[in-house]
Amino acid sequence: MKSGGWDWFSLAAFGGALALLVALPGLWPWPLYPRAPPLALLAQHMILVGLSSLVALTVGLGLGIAVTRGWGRVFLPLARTLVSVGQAFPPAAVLILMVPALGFGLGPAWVALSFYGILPVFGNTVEALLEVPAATRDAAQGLGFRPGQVLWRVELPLSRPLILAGFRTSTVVNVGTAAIGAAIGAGGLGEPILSGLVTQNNGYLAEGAILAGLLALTLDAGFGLLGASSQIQSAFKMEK
Amino acid sequence: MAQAAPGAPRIDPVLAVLALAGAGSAFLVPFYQFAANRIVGGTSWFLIPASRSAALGVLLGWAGIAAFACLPPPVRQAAAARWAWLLVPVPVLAALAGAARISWVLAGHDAVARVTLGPGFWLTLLGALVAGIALPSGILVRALGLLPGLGLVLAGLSRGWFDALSLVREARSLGSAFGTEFARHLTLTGGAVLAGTVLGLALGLAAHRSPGWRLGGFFTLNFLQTVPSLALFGLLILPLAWLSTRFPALRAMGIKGIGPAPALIALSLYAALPIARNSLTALDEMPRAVLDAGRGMGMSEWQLGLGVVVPLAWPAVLAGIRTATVQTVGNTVVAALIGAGGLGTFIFQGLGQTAMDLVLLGTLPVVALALAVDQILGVLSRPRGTRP
Amino acid sequence: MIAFEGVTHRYGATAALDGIDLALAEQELCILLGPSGSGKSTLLRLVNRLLEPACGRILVDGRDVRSYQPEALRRTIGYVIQDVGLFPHWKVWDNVATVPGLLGWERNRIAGRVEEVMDLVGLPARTYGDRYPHQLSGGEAQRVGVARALAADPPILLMDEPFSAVDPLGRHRIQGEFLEIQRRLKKTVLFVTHDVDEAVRLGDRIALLKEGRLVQYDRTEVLLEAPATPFVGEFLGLDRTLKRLSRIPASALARPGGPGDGDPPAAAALAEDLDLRLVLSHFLESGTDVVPLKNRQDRITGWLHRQDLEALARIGGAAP
Repeated sequence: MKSGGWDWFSLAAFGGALALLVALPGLWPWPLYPRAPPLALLAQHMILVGLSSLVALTVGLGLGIAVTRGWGRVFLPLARTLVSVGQAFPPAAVLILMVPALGFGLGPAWVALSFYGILPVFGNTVEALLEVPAATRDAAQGLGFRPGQVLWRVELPLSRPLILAGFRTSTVVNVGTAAIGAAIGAGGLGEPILSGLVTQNNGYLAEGAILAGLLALTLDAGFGLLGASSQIQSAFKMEK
Repeated sequence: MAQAAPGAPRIDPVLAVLALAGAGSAFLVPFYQFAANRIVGGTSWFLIPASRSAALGVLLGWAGIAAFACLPPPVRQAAAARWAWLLVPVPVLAALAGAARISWVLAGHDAVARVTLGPGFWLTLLGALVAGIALPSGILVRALGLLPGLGLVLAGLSRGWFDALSLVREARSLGSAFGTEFARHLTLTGGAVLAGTVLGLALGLAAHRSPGWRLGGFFTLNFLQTVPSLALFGLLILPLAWLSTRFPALRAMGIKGIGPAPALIALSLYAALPIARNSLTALDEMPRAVLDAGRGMGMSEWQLGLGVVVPLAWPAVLAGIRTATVQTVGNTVVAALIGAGGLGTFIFQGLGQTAMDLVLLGTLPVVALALAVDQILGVLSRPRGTRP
Repeated sequence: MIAFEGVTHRYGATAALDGIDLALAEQELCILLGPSGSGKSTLLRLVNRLLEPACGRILVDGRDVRSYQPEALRRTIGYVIQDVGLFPHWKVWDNVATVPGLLGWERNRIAGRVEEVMDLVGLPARTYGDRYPHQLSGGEAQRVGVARALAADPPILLMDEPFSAVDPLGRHRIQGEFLEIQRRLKKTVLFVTHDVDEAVRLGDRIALLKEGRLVQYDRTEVLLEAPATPFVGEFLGLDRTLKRLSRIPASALARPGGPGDGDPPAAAALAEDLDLRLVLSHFLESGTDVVPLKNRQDRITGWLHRQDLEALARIGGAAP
């Protein structure tokens, strides 16, 4: 599949539609959610996802690297099991459990999304780094790379597609979980959806759903362009 | 990699830290909270004044784990070390005992007063979970460790030992509703996984045989999985609502806009993707040599299919079903928002009323269910004779 | 150039190397030979500090390797391994230019050197420079590995079974090419192999290891003539005399001044640079006692007598 071309098309189509619908509220053929304009809702949603993805990437990558270094290897089996157990936790549950612990609002939602987002990034970073052939690493050391250089110039570039795939999964799933975040007061595109469900207003419901869907699809296409392996391949790797 | 020898560290760092943190939290973090009624704020109770025997139990549990962590590496890795796993439930059971005791003391006589489980308790639970993962174990040991404890807790519940805890009181006030929604959650999950398996296997097979299906089918499923579940549920309501107004027969069948129908459809579609993906990979990676040999020996396509293809593909498919089921348990929570019922009902009700006990009554079973399903299916999908 | 003093290395409880004392000669190719598990790769990796010894020391250029910073040391020593370890995400050109880049050479100097060294291994940079490692055959990849090791012009080369992963035909060819390169460049080479034929073909000296101990270290001819222990004799093989002969060109044993010198040969003649093992094979086939040797211009340059050949072969004596 010519994924490059398809991703450009998707990005343009979904991203374009998203941008249009948000910039020109008049395009919507029905009354929109009144509490906030679509742009504000989108922005809230993106900030939440963006901030949690940042944490997920930094921590997930850092831990993944740590656990594959000589000194960290001893934690590897434990880390792998924690990831596999952690992935069995429903993301919605992690989000909801923030409320008894930390209360309502954007902050607790950000914590939950960050935690949950670390798992795919960490899992993929570990698998990718472990797949770097031993001979390649040996040659790099033998030629005179410092350990930091071996990581930065050899191991990480080779691991990039798989790490990005983990980041892709993490981010796209977070878009969905962030929608539920509206239930704990985090705002975002889940707000019109929930409001529509409660007040039986299909217009609000559709507004939130369509925008959320478009956001997820746009981000997914963007990741494809960045070189992440497709979700189909990457997710299977985690099912081991 | 300048050194050659691999080796476990002298003291297991994870267990040591866990034990220290666990023991520390026994003193430093409140385990229980007491409030005179639903409206006023609460006071915190630490483990020591609440119940000295419970504190002893918790500390003993963690001390045991700390001792294990300090054993020399060869001893830690010996087969007999598995029995140390029995220490894992100890802090949790002790904390629960403390909860029972203090709740009766503070709120036993007062139906309005509330004793809730505090951060200390939950941290202990979490710590025990991690310790349970970090300690070496086997199926037998885990069963021996968990089942008696579980039995004890269940017996206690039925005998009313925990009845002064607000969580239990909330559950009792729900009455049969809890059971109903729990059953509904299971039905939705089970039904969706079943439908998803059929769909996934069919798609996997079709995709294996035809590039058109491979591209189109997976593209669609991938598309659907990218879209957030809440959005998908919502989007399905609209056409279904329209359909049910157009075709009263559907309405008679129970397909309205909201309700279990859109949920089931969406959940099945979500469940189908991991199963389809795994079936396809299993079929793709089937060694040609095996099939050739089978045909060469005179097996019919049916015999080949049932006797060779299915057993070889089965582990991968089961792994896909495992992923699908675990994901569906979580997705079904969201389904409650569109009126499909299930444990999510309590979650969102609780959120709306700021009733944390209700939220917990919804969330904890979901988490436990997901973890249990994951573990059970994980054990089932392991090849025979392998130690977990 | 390279010396090992009392080197011991442990892996867990067992000693992978036990009290190795070895001093290499400069600008020679020294083979580390032995069965698997003998410690030869371990010994090699001690030189560029990929491993550290439990006891003893390793000297490079008279200084203990521990006095060098590991990375700085490694950048002055060429390193070629069996699986090559080319960086898959870099083009061949960039792979070869790795160490000069690490050393901070300026671009023109690097470019010139990459071209030079790729020509040396027979893969012109123009054609091969832009390819990626996965596009190379096994032999080509290994040649790139050698080029990469030579790029910064290090005086020392460490090679760990570099040609073992190449197919037998390609291996023979690349060994010959490497011999040529070594003849030209005269590096100090430490070469690990378990293949006796390869060792005999390439090595100036051979250090034979067994279970972490040095059994014998001598010039190759000496080793083949006079194995120090029965193990050495067995390891070298029953045909060690033939192996010894294979290292000597016919011209070395030729007697000049026979009839027809300088003329085109009347009867069958052998090229003067063929090795004595092939000459022996010819004697056995033809049954003759003498054969003329010819040069490239097809003129007789000397005569080789069977009895001289047999006398030379017999010098080794019976195995102890």
